[in-house]
Amino acid sequence: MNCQNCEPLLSGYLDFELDLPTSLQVEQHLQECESCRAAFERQQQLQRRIEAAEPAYQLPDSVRARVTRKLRGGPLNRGIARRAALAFALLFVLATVGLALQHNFSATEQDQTADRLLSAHLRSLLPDHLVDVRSTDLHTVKPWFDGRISFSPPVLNLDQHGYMLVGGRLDYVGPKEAAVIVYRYREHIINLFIYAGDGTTLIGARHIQRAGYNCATWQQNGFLCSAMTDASKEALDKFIELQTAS
Amino acid sequence: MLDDRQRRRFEAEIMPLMPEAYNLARWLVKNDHDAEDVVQEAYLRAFRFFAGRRTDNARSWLLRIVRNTSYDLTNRRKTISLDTNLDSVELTLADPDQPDPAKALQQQSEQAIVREAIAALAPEHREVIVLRELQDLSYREIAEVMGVPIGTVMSRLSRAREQLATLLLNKRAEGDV
Repeated sequence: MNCQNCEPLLSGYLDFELDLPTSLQVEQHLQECESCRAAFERQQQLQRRIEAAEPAYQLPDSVRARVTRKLRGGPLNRGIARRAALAFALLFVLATVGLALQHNFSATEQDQTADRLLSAHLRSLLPDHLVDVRSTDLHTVKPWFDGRISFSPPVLNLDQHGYMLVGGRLDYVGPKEAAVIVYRYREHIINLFIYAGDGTTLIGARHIQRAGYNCATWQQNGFLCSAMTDASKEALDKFIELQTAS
Repeated sequence: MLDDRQRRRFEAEIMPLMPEAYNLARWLVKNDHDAEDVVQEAYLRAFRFFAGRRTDNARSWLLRIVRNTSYDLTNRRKTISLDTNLDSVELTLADPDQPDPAKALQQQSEQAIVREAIAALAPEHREVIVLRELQDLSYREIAEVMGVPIGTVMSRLSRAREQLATLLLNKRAEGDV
């Protein structure tokens, strides 16, 4: 072992994280090499100094109380009985009011969703808003959503069909959290919004035009998908065909 | 939504980790108010993802969410303040030779000196020091939190310690000669 490969191992040696053979090699090198020994002692001193200084920040009681209240008052305490009652009430309201207004209701809902998609699309075209993770590699874009959203959105390589992957971001369409995969077709940006669960009752698989933009919504492997773009309807149709074919 | 059994597990495994979650968030976002927001948001996310988690280590699982939430917040801040040159901000913070802070440091307690030095590290070095030295995570846990290989944890920690030792070199506390 020489100084060059000993140096990055010093931390591991200090923290007892090396396997036995490596640990012995480092130990032997430290006996022979003064400068590495000095570096190791510096790290040891540093560790002791940090420990003595107790630099960690204490959780204020007020924060603990507030977060606990927020969870217990909301999701953590929502008992089965309460949820059942809520579901029953919701069903009742939907059944009476909803049925009567079904046609109107879904049309309005559709309009509203299209408006929200359009504003999300336009917002994404502002400088620096398009993607949170920029990569043409699906193996970079897909794992980025890990831990950021509760499902793993499908990300496809459609290069050979002219739809180039640009990246991904988190966005909201109204109150709904969506994983957005961004593709580029020629000079046109396509925002593909993916939400968990189904919503066919709200918006069927159909096309809507808004201010010259094309929008479509469809169902795919348990996800609800919407695409928004200024590309032609044909290009959008082809895109949807490729998405659903996989 | 979580069933009752899962909810009890969340209470037993995740709620007691709040002090650690707060400490990590506080170091990554650098102020009390944002740290509180991050903890709250991270706990709501954790609650939502709890049933779908793929690891048994509740600690590294939660801290990974806290870390992501913290960086989401700081990234949002960067997008908003487009005019601010972030490189220069980082440089100012990381420069240990500035005359004024050095003078001020002499009058500070040892805790404040060490805190200031850790805060001056680059984010990837700061988080590894916090997770190892302040929260005592194993290399495997740190690797899970940061989403990097264990070897990277080790070399990053070595570099972080070198830098921190240098930063602290001329700032010995009184009586600690």
